[in-house]
Amino acid sequence: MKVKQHYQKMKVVFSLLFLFLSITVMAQSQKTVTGTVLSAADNMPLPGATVIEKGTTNGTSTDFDGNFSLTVNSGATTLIVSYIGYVTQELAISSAPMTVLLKVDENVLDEVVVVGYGSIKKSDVVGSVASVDVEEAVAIPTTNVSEMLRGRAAGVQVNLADARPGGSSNIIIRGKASLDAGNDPLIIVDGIPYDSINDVAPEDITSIEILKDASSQAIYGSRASNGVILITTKRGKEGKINVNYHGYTTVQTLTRNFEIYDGAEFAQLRREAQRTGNNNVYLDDDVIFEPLELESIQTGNYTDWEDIVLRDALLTSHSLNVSGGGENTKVFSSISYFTQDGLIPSSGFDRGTFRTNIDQKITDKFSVQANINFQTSNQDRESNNIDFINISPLAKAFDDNGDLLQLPFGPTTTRFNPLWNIRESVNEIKTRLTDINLVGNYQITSALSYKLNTFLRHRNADQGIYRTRLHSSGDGDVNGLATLGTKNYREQLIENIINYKPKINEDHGLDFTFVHAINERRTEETEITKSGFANDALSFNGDATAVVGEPTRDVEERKLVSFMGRVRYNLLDKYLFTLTARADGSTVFAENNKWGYFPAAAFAWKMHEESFLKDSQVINQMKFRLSYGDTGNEGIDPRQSLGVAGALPYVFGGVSTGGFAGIERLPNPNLKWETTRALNVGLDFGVIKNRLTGTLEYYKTNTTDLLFDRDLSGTSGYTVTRFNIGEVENRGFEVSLNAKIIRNEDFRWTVGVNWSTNSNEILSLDGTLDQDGNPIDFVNDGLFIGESIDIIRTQIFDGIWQEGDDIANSAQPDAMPGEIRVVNITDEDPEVPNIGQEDLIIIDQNPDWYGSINTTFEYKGFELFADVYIDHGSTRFNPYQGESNSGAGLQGNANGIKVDYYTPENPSNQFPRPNVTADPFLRVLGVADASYVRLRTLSLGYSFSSDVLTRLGLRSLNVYATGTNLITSTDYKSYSPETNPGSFPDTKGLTVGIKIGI
Amino acid sequence: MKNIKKLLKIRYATVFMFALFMTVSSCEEYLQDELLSDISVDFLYSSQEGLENAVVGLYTINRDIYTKGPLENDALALVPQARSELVLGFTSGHLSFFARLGWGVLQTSFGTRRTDHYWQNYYRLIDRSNAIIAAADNVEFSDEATKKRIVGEAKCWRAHAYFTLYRMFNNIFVTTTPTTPENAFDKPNDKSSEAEIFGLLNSDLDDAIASLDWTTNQFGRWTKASAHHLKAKVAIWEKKPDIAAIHADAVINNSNYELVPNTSIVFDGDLNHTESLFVVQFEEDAIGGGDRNLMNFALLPRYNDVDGVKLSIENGGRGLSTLVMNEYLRNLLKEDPNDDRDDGNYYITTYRYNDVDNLPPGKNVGDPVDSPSEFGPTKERNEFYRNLNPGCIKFRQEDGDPTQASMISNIMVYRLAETYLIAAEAYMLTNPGKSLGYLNAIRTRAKAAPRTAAVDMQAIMDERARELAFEGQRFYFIKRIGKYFEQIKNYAGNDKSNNQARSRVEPHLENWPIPIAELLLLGPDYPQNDGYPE
Repeated sequence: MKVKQHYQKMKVVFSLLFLFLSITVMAQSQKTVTGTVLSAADNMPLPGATVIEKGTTNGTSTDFDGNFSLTVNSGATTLIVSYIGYVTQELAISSAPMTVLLKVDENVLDEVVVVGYGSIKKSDVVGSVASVDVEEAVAIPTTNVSEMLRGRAAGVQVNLADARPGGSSNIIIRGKASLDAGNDPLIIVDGIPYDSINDVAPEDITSIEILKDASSQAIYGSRASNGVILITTKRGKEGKINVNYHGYTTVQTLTRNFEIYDGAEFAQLRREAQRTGNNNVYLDDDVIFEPLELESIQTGNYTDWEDIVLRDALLTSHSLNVSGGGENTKVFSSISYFTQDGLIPSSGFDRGTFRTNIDQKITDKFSVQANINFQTSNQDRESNNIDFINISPLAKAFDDNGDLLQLPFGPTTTRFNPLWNIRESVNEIKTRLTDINLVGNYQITSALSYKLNTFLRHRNADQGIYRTRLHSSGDGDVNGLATLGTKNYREQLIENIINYKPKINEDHGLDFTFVHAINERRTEETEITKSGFANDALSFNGDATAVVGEPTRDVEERKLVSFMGRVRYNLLDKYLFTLTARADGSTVFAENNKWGYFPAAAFAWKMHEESFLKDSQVINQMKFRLSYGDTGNEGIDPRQSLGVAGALPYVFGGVSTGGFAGIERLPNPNLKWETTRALNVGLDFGVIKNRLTGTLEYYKTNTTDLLFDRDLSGTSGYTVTRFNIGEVENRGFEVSLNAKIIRNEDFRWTVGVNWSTNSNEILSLDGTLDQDGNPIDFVNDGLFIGESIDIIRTQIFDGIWQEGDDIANSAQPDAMPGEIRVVNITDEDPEVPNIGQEDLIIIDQNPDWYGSINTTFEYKGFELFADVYIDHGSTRFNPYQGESNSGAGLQGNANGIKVDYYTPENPSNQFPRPNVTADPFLRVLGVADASYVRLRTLSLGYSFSSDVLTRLGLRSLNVYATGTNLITSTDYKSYSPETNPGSFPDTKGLTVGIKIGI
Repeated sequence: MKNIKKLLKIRYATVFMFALFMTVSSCEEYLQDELLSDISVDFLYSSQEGLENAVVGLYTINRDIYTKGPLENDALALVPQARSELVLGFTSGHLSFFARLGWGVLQTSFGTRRTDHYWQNYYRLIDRSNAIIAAADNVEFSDEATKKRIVGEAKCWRAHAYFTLYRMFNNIFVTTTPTTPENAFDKPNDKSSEAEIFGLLNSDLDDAIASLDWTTNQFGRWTKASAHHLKAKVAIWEKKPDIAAIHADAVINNSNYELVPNTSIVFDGDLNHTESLFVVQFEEDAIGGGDRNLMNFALLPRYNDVDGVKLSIENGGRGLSTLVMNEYLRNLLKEDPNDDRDDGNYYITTYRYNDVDNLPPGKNVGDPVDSPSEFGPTKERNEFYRNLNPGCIKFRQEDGDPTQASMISNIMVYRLAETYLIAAEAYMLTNPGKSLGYLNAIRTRAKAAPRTAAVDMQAIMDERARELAFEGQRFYFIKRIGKYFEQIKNYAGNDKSNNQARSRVEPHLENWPIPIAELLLLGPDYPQNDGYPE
């Protein structure tokens, strides 16, 4: 039904779309030109080269053998032939078959790169800018654009935050610089800041650039200290109308590298645990099992919860775009529809998007752009937790008729069947997004231009949760429980941009940019919970009789005013300088600290233009880059410099009375900007006819005045206050390499590698010293000077105490055989060995390095792409191995990851003995190596040759099959090394898709 | 296209003017951070209306102890109860861990660390009281009486919170200065002396007694009577029975307060009766009515596992048998068979068949449930403890849904029966006749035979156990009379079940360890309680 509605909407949208595209095609007398396009270097055919009749939009592209055939006007005289990486040629039309030899463009770095407020030739880039291969990136079937960036550029780390349909990931560029003020990079789509990267449809993306150093970021200053991701969407080009369709469907399945106890094993685990608690004597089954559990043990009918809860999920995407335009008007328009089921019943996501980008030239001096993005999405979330691992298999999920049982552990127990609650609840979030971006350009003189950029975004999300009268929290006298929430987000941006490029002479190039920007963001949230529904028929839309708790309303607004100036100076096309300065005022800071000032400078030296390299046969490109500068971070909630009183209403004798007090947070009237100062050194190179290109970079960033939620002592009556403290340093090295290893007529092989390290270190905290004059660590917050921000502080596992060990004289004199032994590093008093604070070590959670290797083989029309992602040396805490609540306690009450535990008959040195109380050092078992190697993408595609295309009347036709996350090698016990077993599982996917161009 | 152009023109004009305005006028006003849906703290402490709101806030902060916190609901407010010698921690759960002295001993154990909830919440109550008391002098009030009441209530809160903290954590630090951004990181580095602590408690309570009225038309607020009662408790802690007697008598002799005639009324309904001195207020489905709690669930057994018995309010509502009455308490109540406190008034001893469809043969609805012997083999014993152990119903919601684990109803904190027993203790040596009269007032109300022998400490201990068990005072009481170690050693848990506390108890455990995380924030020299590693 919903799908139908969507399609109907699409129809309407489509008819509108074609109205926009008013391009006339004129019929004239014609002739046909044929020919072959070859590479001048090796006489190899160039498939896919563009051949256009000059001065028209009429064109074609070469087939796999480099052949083309084009019908042109009888009066046509000139053809333009172009191919990426080659120098474009114009040549006269001849009636005989033409042979076109294209020369390799030695300056392959001269793709155009989008940088802040403009784009420049790649060879002129001064800062650290990484371009992402969009083609490779969008091979991942998801709406989660962050995941597409994983492994695509050095220095960019992507951590899966939520694997559920419509979920998201966190992107960290060059390590975490901030403790609390957020580490998310700034997302800029077509010059507009996006608060969520997933608000752009993957199919609309034409390029992604990542700005990593201060000089490139400075232009975005106040929100850019965590890096900037610049996304450009497709725009219409002058030429004939192109229609592209891309559709794919994916089946997602679950993989795991651990086992959980089945019913019999779980029963035995409980027997062992009870035995340990009962002085090594087994207890009778009827003492330790409930009647229904006994029945389950006797009949052998166990419940495999994972099997009943999880299912394979299907994902489908369709997208269609139309682009084209004439001299004055150019349009790109796309619609797409994406739908995904979750692995857990009742979870799912679907989204429809529509985008139109219009370029309109009004006069020679004046032009406008209108970019409109509209999306509507619906996310269904599963209700309650999805803990199918810890729930006991000694249960009966279905009755004898195959109907769900509400209480799988027996009628007098309280634990509900998770499937029951999933069935008896809905939780849906409907989101509508409307973006309108209008741009005006005025070319005042040939050197001076003015641009006005305006943007308005509305995101409206409605959430409805309903728990029926059969659900565990809607039953009894609750009579159905509903929560209704709305969240309205509005963002406005106005930018005045002035650009001045005075012409001086060949040797000196100057380029000035001035920007003044105002940005306002406002969020309004309302939530109400109600109960007492007459029936379940209308779900959360029904009438209720009672309001539960207090309805909440929260309004938050933040504003930012910025002034920015940039000068670019190009000396002799060898020495490039960029100077940037900006001032930002943000509402979130204290009265007298609103403004922050952030300068940056960068220098690049094109060594290959120097005489000593100019004629080198080996080195084609060599550019050295250096940058240094400041950026600011304002990523905290507003109101933290003000005293906010929380609502604390009370009842006296049943009568409601208003009450207020400051609650958790003490205001800080001195709150100011967090500043990151970054140094970047880089080298771009291309050698052996640019067959091997690459970039090496080193950076060091120091973040000071960290916006930190500092713990207050309980005696203060507050929990935290936002405070500027300390300094954090990130240092790292990045390598990106691209090699074209084989390149001949039938076969091409390229390999790309990127590799990054980052080391994160806290240099100082609040500066207080202990009695011995050493700076004090923030132990409660897990922050230690000289260590990384992300650490695990733990004892070290040292095996299991065995019979016969000298336990009495050890540091754990009370331990029993079968309990965990930890390393006693040192003792305050050597006479009294014990395990205390001094035996804790600090482990950095971050990887030592991470990177990816990708390779492409092309053979005739076939293309094989493989991408391997490697995370080396990261450590995480796996609660399913180290927390008793998650079943690692071997207590026989919660199921969990199966281990070969200790028993007196079969002593283990890896896992402790089951016991009714969890081992005091259980947590050490949860500290696990989370390194992994994963074949993230393996994709095989085939492009049909021009013969077939001509017969079918198509411009291009491509079919492919992609496997996602096919192979993972890791010691981390989970469904996927990035998520813990209890959260929404990450999947393996198989995709088939088709791309059609008309 | 035309429209877009038009729109653009309008936008352009507005924007241009806006930009101009921006540069000309000051940005400062534009960049002001504003509270759009919240009340400012400045408002609270600068007007009479604000202070009225702020005082109500104190009641809510205090109520959070019962409903919010890092442990699951079941352990929130019952930790002091769990640490007394009157309980059996049977079903595994947070409360039984405290009862068995599994938690609350090692500073690093999960449960012990989480007692920081008490520390933080009571100190929050103190700081907000400090703020009200400090602000009151700078605010204009419509009348002096209002000012006195507001300050009086705040001082009661401050005294109540410091007194509770002192009795839990011993090494506490007292201040009357409200926290400000400037002093927030000051570290006290040392505990306050007993003289300082009791000096403040006494002056606050004296002021409150002088300021507050005997009664309030807003049931649940502090009154002169509750302030007197608290003062009597402080005095008897200070071993000043004469002062305790004066303040106890003041309440007992006030015409607004008297013991209700039957034990069945004491914990029935909303507790708004002449015996109540201080009651924490809840109201289901009302704004400000508070959240539900699982206290009753912890205190009752799982009788509904037995055929023929279903969940009912008469049987006590739903239970898990986490923290039930132990043998010692039950025996004290059994001493006099006529004592009706354990006949379904404070405690349920007998559960009754009520499920017509599943009755065992020969049984009728209303018959007492056949009880497995608590002295039989392990299996039978455990069945008794799990399914039919007597339970305390002082936290039951009489109009609640018996099938729900959570309930919501008013919670008794202080009541006149305790005042009587404090008076009995205070007069024990100086006026034995009066002492016996007070003790017997409690006994005869419960239909127990009046005592004839002179009151001694054992009699006070036993009567307090019978009358006040599970109301949260027992742990402090045995600590006050110096018998914490001895009582736990002899009576905690049952002889044959879950008596781990008897072997684990050590004298220093009468003071709870100051949570490690808090200790780190109090300065390097701040002392942990004796007996715990630094």
